[in-house]
Amino acid sequence: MDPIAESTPSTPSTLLARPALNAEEASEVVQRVRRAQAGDLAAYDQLVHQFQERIYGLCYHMTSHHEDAHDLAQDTFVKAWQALKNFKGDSSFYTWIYRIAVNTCLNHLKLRRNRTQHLSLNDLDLQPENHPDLVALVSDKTPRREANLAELQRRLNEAILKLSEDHRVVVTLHDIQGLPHDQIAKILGVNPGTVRSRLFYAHQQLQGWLADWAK
Amino acid sequence: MIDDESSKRLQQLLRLKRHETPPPGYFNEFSDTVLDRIRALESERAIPKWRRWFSRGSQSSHGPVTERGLWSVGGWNTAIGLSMLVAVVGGLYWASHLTNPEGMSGNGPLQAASLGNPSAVAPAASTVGTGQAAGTGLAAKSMFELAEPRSVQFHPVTVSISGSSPELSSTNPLPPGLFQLPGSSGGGSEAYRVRFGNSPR
Repeated sequence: MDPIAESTPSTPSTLLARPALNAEEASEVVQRVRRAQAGDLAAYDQLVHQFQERIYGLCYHMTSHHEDAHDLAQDTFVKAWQALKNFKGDSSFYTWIYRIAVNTCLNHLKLRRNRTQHLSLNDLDLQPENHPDLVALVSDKTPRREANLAELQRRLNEAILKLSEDHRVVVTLHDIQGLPHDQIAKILGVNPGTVRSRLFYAHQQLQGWLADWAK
Repeated sequence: MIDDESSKRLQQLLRLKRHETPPPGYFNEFSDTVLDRIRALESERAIPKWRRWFSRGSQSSHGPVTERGLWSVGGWNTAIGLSMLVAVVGGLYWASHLTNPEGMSGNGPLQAASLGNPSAVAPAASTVGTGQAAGTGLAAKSMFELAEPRSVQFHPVTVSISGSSPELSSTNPLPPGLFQLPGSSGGGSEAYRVRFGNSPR
């Protein structure tokens, strides 16, 4: 059984954050992986369908750029296909492909470090009116009631991009995509304590940069 | 230190990121694009390495290698470059044989030397101006070795003028087979005489 299915807390299901696999999904994944390892491209197509939103979401939140996220997500699935025969099943396919995606994103960010970072927010669709978190944010506790959502989104993305890559990846996996600490530790190949430590420092930094919104 | 309320608010903010979505319909074609790339890689893998190498330069890294690409600009450039290289190497090889004109008739200096026929190699030796080389197998060496600077020894020449008919006499030993004057026996140490103009004998 996929550890995600066992340990992930219930989170609001959105397009880019669906971390949990139930037992049936996990079993289907195993079967599809075996068929794909035998060269069945149709089975791999089903796997891509199953994970494309999560992987794209990870790449997008790591880069805040739609085109980059598109390329990185595609690269991830192509690399995974090429390496699929070496996948022994020691970890879940979910963990394995996430690891490929994280490494692909980190390599890309290293190469892009000297480039000007930019956002492509026009392509994105924020649907705040239905989200309880946002209702809370624009309630009477919010210091800047008059601020529009675009400003909030811009500040949020800027703050996340200011984080180091190690901190950004744990924030993305935990706070945005809802993965538990132990699962993130497996993906990154570090101790769960390291994940918690990185999250703590990342939150401290974000708290400072988003003080107007997070108070 | 972050208090619980602030931490909760921050996590609420971060969860808003979940609502950032790509353009509508984006995921409908995502897997098709991935599979197209995989098929292209698989078909490229099926082509032999030498053909892939030959078509390199005209194909994108993600694109498939097609038959059309095999003889495209990159392929022609490679072919022309190889032809030029072969021409240069071949030219150098033949040039080494052309130092002896007789070599063109198939009786090259190497052959002559190996057959123990010194007279056959003498013309080749004369081109470097050393008579000592004749019959010593020097002609069997390549043009590059012959082009190296060689020390040439000159022997003293004495000039004597007697009466009204100046004569030159030399004690320069003649190298065997070279510069032999009519009437002389061709000995290496024999002196010879040269007459000027219309001076009487």
